[in-house]
Amino acid sequence: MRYIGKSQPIFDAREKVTGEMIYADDLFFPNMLHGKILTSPVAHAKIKHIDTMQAEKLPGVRAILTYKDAPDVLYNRNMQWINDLKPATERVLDKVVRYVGDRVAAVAADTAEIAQKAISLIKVEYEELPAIFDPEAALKEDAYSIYTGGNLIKELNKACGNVDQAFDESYHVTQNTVSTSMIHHGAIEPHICIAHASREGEICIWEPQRAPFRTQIMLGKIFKTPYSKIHVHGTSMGGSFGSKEGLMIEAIAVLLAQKTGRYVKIRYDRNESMISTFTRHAMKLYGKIGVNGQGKITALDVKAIINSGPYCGDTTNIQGSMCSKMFKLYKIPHMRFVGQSVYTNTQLGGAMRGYGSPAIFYALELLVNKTAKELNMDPVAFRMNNLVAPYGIDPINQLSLGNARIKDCLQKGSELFNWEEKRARQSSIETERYAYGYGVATAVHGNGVAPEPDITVVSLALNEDGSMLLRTGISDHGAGTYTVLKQIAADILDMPMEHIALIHTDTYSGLYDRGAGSSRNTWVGGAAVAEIAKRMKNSMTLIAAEALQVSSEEIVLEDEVFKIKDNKAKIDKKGVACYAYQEKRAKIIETLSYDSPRNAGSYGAHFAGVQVDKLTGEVKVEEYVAVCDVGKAINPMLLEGQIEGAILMGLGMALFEGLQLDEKGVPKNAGFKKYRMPKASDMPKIMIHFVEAYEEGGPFGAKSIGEAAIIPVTPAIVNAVNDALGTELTEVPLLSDKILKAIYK
Amino acid sequence: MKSIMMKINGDQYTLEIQDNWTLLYVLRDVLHLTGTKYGCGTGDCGACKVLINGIAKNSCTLLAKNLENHEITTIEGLSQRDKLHPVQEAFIEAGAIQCGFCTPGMVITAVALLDQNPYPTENEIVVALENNLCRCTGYKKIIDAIRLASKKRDRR
Ligand code: FES
Ligand code: FES
Repeated sequence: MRYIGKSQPIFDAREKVTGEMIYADDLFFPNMLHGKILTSPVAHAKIKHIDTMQAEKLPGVRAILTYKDAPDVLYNRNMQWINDLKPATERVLDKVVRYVGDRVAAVAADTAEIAQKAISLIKVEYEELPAIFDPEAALKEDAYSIYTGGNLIKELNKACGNVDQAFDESYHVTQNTVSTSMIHHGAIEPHICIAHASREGEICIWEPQRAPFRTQIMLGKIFKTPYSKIHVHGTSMGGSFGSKEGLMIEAIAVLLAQKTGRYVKIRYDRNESMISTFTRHAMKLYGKIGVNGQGKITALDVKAIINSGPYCGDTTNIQGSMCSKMFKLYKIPHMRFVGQSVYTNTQLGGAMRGYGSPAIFYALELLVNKTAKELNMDPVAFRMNNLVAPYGIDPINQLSLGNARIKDCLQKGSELFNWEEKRARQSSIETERYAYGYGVATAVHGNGVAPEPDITVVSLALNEDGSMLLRTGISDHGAGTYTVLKQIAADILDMPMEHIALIHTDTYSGLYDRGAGSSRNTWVGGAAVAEIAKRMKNSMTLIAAEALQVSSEEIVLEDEVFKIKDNKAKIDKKGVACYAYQEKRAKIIETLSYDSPRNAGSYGAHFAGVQVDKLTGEVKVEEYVAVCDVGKAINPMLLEGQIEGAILMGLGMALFEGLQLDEKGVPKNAGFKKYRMPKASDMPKIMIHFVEAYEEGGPFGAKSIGEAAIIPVTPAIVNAVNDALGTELTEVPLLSDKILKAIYK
Repeated sequence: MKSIMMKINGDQYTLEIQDNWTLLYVLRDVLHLTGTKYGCGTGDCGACKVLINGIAKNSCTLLAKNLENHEITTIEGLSQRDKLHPVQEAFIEAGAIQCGFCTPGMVITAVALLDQNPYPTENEIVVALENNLCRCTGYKKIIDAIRLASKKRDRR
């Protein structure tokens, strides 16, 4: 049956729409306790004294943890494999707290209400230490050092050509400085974890988790337990966007479970999910572009200061990732990236949809627009003159960029948006109150982690009735991965999707995967499923040939059955399975450890039209066009859905999202009442178009979209606002007071 | 503890509740009607929406003790075993569901809207969704779904 290119609702839509889907919070184990974590109200302090006496006396309290009860093990919360050597400065519970929201103590009680009450009865005496919130200040030589050895976690330098000389020889040089904010992932399902510690020494976790095999690594390290005794059961994810990964509440839940011998559920409330997990990194970027007399960019220099908060987590990886992307969009002979990841006492920065790319392309695309403006060139034409072409070469690793269709995206987008006509009549529609502006941005994101080992494991087993069991380590964030994987397998095996069962990620009964991040799901997971399905088809073909007593070359899979070409004889999948069982005394099962051979680029060109109210400073994004280089649209409806979600998320980043801290490092706008996320009324008129051009290495030539789709959004909108007002706003979010200040400065 | 009566999804319940229990707590933790979701607990995301006497309300900010003799419909009460509510069908068809965590609240909101206003304009749909957050879909297909449900109603 044909499924590729066909819109299908998410395969578990019925469960979800009836409320019958089970998420972690819907699990109630026998005799289960509820955990609560006390978090730090101060940004940096030594714990002088913790008094838990009052809390212990509260009826229904079953266990209390302080740093004295936690293993004294330093870890990095985002280890990607066992020998990951990223800086490790975090403990499950520590004598020192390093940001507002850091873990201090924990309670398990009969109800969440009692646990909450007990938390409020724990008295902590803090000896405050100097706290530092500005990463640039933290880098100064005389700055207070959060750990010995300074606040610089890692500096990264990558360059091609001779950048300084190229700037000297440039016809024109443009510079800018931009900054981005700490952004909450905003998955509607908050962080939650249920833990159990069995008498056999097993640690069991149930949680929405995009990388269960990574959770195993950190828990193994902390509890000195073999992976064979750590079972992480991934539950349905109520959204992730990067947030459902890394060790946050798991070790606490495990400790409470060990102490009580009971199941313990910890659910963060919305404020805790915002403050005590991690956010998109706040960054500051300095950019510089040099051009020659023909409007060609000859030199690019970007320096990024990345605020990690007090723990490294994924920061250094994100620094590396954004760096590598920068070299893949424009064909520029001389380029340099310098990144500095820095410890501060703010909340933590970590992986969020785009993994550093939204920041680097925010900087770059504002800079490119500014350059075009200074040169009096149309920003679309200027980009067209400088973008990479398909199969260009990445100047850093000398590898092919693959089928990079960014120019097609830009061309198509400008047509769909009516870019030229709109710009021609722009000034005529401006009124005293409303200004209108148009913005464009281009960007690229990766597919997987190659050339790093990019491993996923799949297996496919044939049942005797002809149905199949597919196992994959890939996790579904909720955006449709499992649906797409089923479509791929069903298409190749010529069978109904409903006849393929798929096991949810699980370290106990499932197979290994490196983690559902880095836009790996379709590119790596999908390619692995395509490969295993082809192998299964091949094995079945051999058996069908034997059963029909012909050579396998004579067999075709058609109308769901194996047929002899030009002959009436046929055998269905059930027949193949039964023949194998009966005659060959064997089950047909295929298993594959797949390593993705290359890392393609998913490009995109986005266009935004905004209306700015000069009286209130409010921005309304009115129209939006996104053209995405997807390789192949396996499921156009799901693809559109992801892109639409990304547009709204990027719109939030541009216009109003970001945690704001007071001078003591306390977030002023935690919780959904004060932290504004995009609503239905923020949605512009959206038009989406796919450029479909086969990409070698992806399933059916398809590549990723989840992350790529958000990257051009923020710069496209900010470019549109600047176009409307003739301003040079560069600090997101563009809150209305910032806009008014820029208009009436 | 106090004893109150409530009708939930057509069934009459007598419940022993504490004064500070929210309706969401009663639904999820006491009755294990877990289709209604917790997203914020502060009345700002709509994941916990239920129908109370036909009106969509956030159950996380309502005290159960004040709901004596109220009629409550949760997401579980909208479908039958063999038949989904037309709004639910429309959500599936329009691709309005991704992670599904906002979905019960969205469906409840849509049902309340269409019961009051069977042929809403796009703007009326947007206004009705003002208190429902979805981080996955960007709302477009949710709005499409509600339009579709309205259209289907026409055909029935
Ligand atoms: S959980 Fe009730 S509105 Fe968010
Ligand atoms: S579908 Fe995930 S939050 Fe709406």
